[in-house]
Amino acid sequence: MRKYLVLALVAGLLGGCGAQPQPQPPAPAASVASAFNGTDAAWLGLMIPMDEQFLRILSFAPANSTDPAVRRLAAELTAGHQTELNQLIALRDRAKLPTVNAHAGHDMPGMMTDEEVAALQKLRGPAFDKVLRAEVKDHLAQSALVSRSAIAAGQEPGVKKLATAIEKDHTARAAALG
Amino acid sequence: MRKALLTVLAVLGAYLVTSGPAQAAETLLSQNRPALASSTENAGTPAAAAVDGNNGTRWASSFADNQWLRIDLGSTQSFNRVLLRWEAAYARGFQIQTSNDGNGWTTVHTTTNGTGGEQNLTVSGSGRYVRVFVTERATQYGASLWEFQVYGGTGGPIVRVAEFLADCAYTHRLPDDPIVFPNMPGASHMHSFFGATVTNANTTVDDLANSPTSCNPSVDRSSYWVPTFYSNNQPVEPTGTTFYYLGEGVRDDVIARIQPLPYGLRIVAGNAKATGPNDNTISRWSCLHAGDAGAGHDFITCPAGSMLESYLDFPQCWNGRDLDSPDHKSHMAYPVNGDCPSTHPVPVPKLRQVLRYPVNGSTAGFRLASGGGFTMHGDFFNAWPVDEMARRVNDCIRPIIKCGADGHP
Repeated sequence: MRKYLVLALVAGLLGGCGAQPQPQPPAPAASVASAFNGTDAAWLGLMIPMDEQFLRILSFAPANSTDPAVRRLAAELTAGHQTELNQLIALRDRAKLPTVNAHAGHDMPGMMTDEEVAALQKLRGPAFDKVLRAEVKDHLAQSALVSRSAIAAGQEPGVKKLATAIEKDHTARAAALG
Repeated sequence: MRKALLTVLAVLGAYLVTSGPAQAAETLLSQNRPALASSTENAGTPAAAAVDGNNGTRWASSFADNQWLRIDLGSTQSFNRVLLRWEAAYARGFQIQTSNDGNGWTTVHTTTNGTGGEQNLTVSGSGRYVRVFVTERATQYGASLWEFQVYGGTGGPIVRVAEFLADCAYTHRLPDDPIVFPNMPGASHMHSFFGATVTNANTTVDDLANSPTSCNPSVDRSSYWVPTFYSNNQPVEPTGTTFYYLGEGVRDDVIARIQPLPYGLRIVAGNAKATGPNDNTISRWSCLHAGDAGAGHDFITCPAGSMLESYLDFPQCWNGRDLDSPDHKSHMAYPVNGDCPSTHPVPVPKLRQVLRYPVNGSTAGFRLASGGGFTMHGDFFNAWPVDEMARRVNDCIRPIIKCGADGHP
């Protein structure tokens, strides 16, 4: 990790000499540690807690929703997100990133607060469905947004590949929800 | 006890700075102070004759270059004017120098083509000792002064607090964080930015170096940001926005070896993982001019006429190596028992962020973009020019002198 930071610094210094603003140049070396840049790390560190919370929220659906369509949607999203989360964790391990959630306790876009999750867990029927649908839309939109940043500014091929797949999948799912 | 006193002084200093003390009358600091010279021509031309206020008596050196006359001001003083009344045996080249110990000297003025007579010099310096050092005589005789006078502008001794500051008004809001979410616009909760006006998700230190700034002094191109404060879901921006750079927190001998904050350093301070008021031990809330309202890690109910204020101290020990770290914290550490730990051996100035929000009364409608008051945190991206930071560390922090936004006492 340290190596990538040093490289990022050098890259930043080199980038400053140009007259016009320019995107982050790719790092010149390619050791395993330096393959992940700051955006890769931040994207992994954000997507993992987002998906973990989302899976927890979806897990309420079988007991709390009475609408078969909502239950079916939750089941589909659960399967897709479990696979996605496993891929994210594998990348995090490869990047040797800390496993602790740096954003825990903070209100983050696309996520619910712990209090909101606890409140949702107590809702039943249409009241539950309404909050769940809103959160599904929020989650899909925000995860697609940050994945677009990872596609544009990320560096590690595995990250960019997964971000591309997530962005496509979540954008399509959000569109299907209307 | 000393540390507690310094803390109190720093807080008092913060109030004084806000109220903007008027410039007091000029004071002659040097009259009848102990004077010492490298040499005297004879018993009738002693060093003391140059500080006696009498234009009929004078100091004269032996007939050589590199002679000096030194005044002991008794304690460290800041001064802004020096008056020299030369006798016919004047100096073509000389320097005005200061020292806190009478051994190591800092040159604050140099003349190389002096013409004698009365020389009124605007200089800026501080120190217990002030001397005129004659590098080149104008005549075959020595150097001779009827009077050597040193004037201070504030009429009092300097405040013994290691401090300089920048006042940086609110500039803009964005759901961006170039430290935590580099090149990821919209990835964060809402932040309120201070200082550099260009900061967004893609900002690098070079962008900051070329940015306009809201800071006084305008040489500070750094970027500072915090989660946006909301009152009943309306954003409220602080109207008091002072960023102090302090020596306090470590022993005086550690302060004496504080290093400048490295250019491009990034720090996140405050407990990002706070899930309750007791998790965040660094950030604290209080009420301006209403200390009896208390202080705590969550919002405080401030009395009418007061303002809610947030204090946040950044860590002041650097690992000497990294400008950032994966968690944006572990390259920095807080001191232990007045010194920096061996893992983070380099003492740097402590950034103390003081924000004053124009709100008071019930805290029921208050929240931060990140959550409760206990989630307060601050991000700092250092873009002070290297020489400006170094000068302030050298002039204000290490010698323990309270400086203003201009980096002078």
